[in-house]
Amino acid sequence: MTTMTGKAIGGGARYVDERLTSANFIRRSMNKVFPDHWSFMIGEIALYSFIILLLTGVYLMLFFDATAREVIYNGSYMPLKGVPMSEAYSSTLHISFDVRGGLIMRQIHHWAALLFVSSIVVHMMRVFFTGAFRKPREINWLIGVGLMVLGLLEGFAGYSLPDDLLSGTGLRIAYSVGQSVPVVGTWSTFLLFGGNFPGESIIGRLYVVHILLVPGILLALITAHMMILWYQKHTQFRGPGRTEENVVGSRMYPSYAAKGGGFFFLVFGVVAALGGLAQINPVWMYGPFNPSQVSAGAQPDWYIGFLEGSLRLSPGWEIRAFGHTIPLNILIPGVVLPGIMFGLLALYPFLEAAFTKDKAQHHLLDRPRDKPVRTSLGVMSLTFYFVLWIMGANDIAAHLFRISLNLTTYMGQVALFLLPPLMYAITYRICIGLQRSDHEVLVHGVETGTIHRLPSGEYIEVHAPVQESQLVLSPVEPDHPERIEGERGPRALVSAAGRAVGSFFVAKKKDTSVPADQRERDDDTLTKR
Amino acid sequence: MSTHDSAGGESLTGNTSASAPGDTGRPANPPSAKSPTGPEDVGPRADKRSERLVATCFGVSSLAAIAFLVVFWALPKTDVAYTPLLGVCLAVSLFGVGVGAILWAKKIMPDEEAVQERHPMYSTPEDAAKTAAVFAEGTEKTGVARRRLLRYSFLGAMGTLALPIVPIISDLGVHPRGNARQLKTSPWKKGDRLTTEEGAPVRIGDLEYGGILTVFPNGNTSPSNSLAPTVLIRLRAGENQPRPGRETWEVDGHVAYSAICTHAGCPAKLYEQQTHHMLCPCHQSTFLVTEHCRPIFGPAARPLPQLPLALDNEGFFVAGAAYQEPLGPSFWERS
Amino acid sequence: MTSTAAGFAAAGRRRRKLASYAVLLTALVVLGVTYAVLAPRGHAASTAEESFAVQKGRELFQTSCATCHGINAQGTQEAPSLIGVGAAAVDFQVSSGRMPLARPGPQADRKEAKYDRAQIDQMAAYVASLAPGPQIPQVDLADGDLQLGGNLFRTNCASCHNFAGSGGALTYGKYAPRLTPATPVQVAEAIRTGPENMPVFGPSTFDDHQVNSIVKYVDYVTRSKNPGGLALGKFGPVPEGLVIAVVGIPALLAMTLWIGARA
Repeated sequence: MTTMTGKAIGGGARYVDERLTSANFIRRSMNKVFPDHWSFMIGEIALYSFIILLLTGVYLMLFFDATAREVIYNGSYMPLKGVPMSEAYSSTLHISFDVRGGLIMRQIHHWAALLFVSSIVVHMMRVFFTGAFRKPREINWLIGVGLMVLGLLEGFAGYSLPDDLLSGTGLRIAYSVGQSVPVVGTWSTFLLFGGNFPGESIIGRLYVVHILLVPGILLALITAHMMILWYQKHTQFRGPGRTEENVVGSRMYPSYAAKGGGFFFLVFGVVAALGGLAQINPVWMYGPFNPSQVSAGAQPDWYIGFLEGSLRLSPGWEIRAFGHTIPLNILIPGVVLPGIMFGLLALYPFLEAAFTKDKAQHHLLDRPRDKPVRTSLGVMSLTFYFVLWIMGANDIAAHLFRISLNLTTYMGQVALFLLPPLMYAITYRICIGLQRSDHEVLVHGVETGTIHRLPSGEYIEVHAPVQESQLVLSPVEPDHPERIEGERGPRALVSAAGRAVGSFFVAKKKDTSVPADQRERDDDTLTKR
Repeated sequence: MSTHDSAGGESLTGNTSASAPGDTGRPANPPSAKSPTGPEDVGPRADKRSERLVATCFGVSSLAAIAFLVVFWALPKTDVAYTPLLGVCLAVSLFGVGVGAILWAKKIMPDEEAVQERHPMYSTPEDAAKTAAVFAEGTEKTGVARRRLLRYSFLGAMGTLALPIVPIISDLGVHPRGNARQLKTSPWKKGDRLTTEEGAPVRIGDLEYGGILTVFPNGNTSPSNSLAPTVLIRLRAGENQPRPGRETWEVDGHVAYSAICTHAGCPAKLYEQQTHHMLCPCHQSTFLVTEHCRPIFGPAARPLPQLPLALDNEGFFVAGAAYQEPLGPSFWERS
Repeated sequence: MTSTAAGFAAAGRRRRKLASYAVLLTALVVLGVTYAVLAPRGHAASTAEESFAVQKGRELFQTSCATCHGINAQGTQEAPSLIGVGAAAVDFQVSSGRMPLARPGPQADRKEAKYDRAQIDQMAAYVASLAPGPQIPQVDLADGDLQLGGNLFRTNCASCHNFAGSGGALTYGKYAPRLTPATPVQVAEAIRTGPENMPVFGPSTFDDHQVNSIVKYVDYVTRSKNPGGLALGKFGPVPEGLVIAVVGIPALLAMTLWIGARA
């Protein structure tokens, strides 16, 4: 840092500090430590996608006109020239064909939306399988579940805005799902749509939901999510020097700021590449919405796919009694099932705490194998979800792989109930197996590849005892880089890449480094099983 | 955050382990000595190389950004490569900055590993007790526990304030009760002509055997009439097995059914003319046309409603009567 | 209840028994060929004015079609009658390679045509000579109206063939095929004759202008360049979701691994 820049920064800092008294806070923030583990950056993908969505969304707002008013299209897409359509659809075509760079903005927006929800889901999987949701982080888990559900809603609203044939079909189904709720269903859908389907109001209302209501709540919840994260500090995987009382990693400034900031551009780059190279939601081919038309393979975006699948798997049940009808074939797969799924997801931290009677605070993460019940429950639930998701695309699969459509449905119905418990059992066995192999290494040491011949003629492989220096790289104080050099010998068992991959993929024999009493406890749990 | 971090609790744990309060926390080493990894990376030459690499990334980014401008203005927007090229330029430009920044952090900044102590995630019992006392004292001062009149009138006022929301929300749509009746009303009346999308009435002979046509009542193709779409199908003689009482609903092998699926309301009109299956593409409910469109597969619970057919005196198809049951998906008020 | 073009290949009915029929079929082919060679020719239409093409067509028919469709195209248990299906149905089925049937299944698959143009015309002439039926349509793309065609396509075709003619699944293993490989004439023939389970749209349902318009739209939507990059098969949101799951997320996870790696 030259004296020139030093002076400039000093001057600016003083200006701010004399108004906000911020020096102490800023210094602590810059010194804040972030764990380096790769899996901690998945949530950032969601955050960055959200920023990209805001940027591109504002641009699209400047051109999009969310009205159902009928106009005659007169833009440059030939097959629809002179065709009557809604202003919403027409302005979407205008963005796609007659605004320079409009199509790429639309496509980046849509890809970012898919990425937003995907990364939330992957992030939640990471949090779930490592037990990061445990006390004191249950509130952030709840906020996270809320963010995901709102993300689905936001995505569906955005998907519906162009008023094309595909999204209109989706809205038609959404209307039927709303209508299926006993007593209040018809009323609430009439209120939402301003009357019978499709009505004139829904596009404008979804627009408000999509650009103001939900993004506003999302922004507030994301802020709360980040503030709580900041306040509680990150969790971390076990390792030498890593305890429940500290965080080991890179400091916010400069290292993490450079990496995290750089990662924003990488996320944006991936979305931009997709937006330019992979055509998404070609609304011009779908045509304007018309209730008498439909396209084969009418699917929602991927995150609603599980609902599509559950509706497809449903048997044809309906209750008709006392002058009323309850369509169980929509109510159960479209309302009850997602309600139960999201409910269980939100309640999981509390359920686990209640069942394990674990009231302690946790900042050190579990390896999935060390908590076989939780891991198996997670895999089981994901399998259930995955079957529904696949079944949302069973017609495409049946067509491409030449399987009978009806057969795929029967297979899905069986798989939905058979696969999850099976996956539970398999996952549980794998976890126990991994635990045993860890135990093996701890007790007998590492295989060295050296074969010795005993005097008796027997051959044995030499096992070296596990040394701490071979297990994980030790943490060092940031102000003594020379110790980094010193402690990282060429014999390090865990390579740099392995270290980055961390305990997800590479068994770190961390237990040797934790205090003896702690180790005993872990060994206890091992031998119990 | 600042309130906490500057609170007393933090001082006993400190921030980064080796930086004293007031310290900038930066290790005081010249950059060249900070190269973190193997021997080939150590030394001023390697450092220079890293610096050039990072600068190259940033340079590529700038070039790509300029290329973006060139494509944006020089290429006609109708060119099929327009959007892909814009995407590639933008992506390269963004990747340049991102990769450069990360390489900068990895290759040039010191590879430190910092340790920070956590602050305890609970307040001391004394703190909690103090807070509770303050709250209790404040509540006591309001007198809410003693003054029942105040308490109940306040709660009552909050409750009645919720009432204005009801008419405001209910005015979002036209009156629901009337609309529920509208859901049960057939969009087809007796004598309505079956017309094509272009408004042409349909007569016998317009459909071949195995033909299907989407028809509308008297040319009303308005999207607001979303339950009206109906399919007219011509079966071969003797193929139709009508429900008892509906023998007169077909005209010379022609039958008409609502196109709107009784499950979730998609147009179910994927007609297979040999098997007479009618498939809905949304959730794959399958109806058998020759047997009054009863559901034979999938989630639908009810047959597609049938429209009685007749001929008017000019030989055009008309509705012999209105639909006899509500169309489309089920709802609570449907009997 | 005579079959028309509608019942061109009653494959659906046969699919279960067919493993055992494969042998029988081979035997029948051998028998048919032998019969065709040995039997006295042209006893059905030996008039002097029978054209050369019809005669050649009948020869071809009797070599390769008669085993299933009957020696006089009257139909058998295996396959429908071809009397009255017209030249259009023959041209569609043979030029798209669907006939002769390669292997039994829920429906005939498109494949490389087995006969050349002249042979197909001869077979078509023979079948057309049996009874009046739809002629091979004269497609005039210039006459077509793209906007009208698009709307007709979305109302009548997209429900099975998908919004861009990418095809889709039907019940019990049947499917609406992808329209990309179909020539404009074949599309028009399919509309007019309703092959297998496809509905028939005769001249009084759609006039020639409407058919030309649909064909023009199909040609446009299957062949026009995609302005937004790779079309991902034009199947809608499913491949888009797969791209995020298979390309987007893994690419970004690889980047987090790189970022998280210690030098």
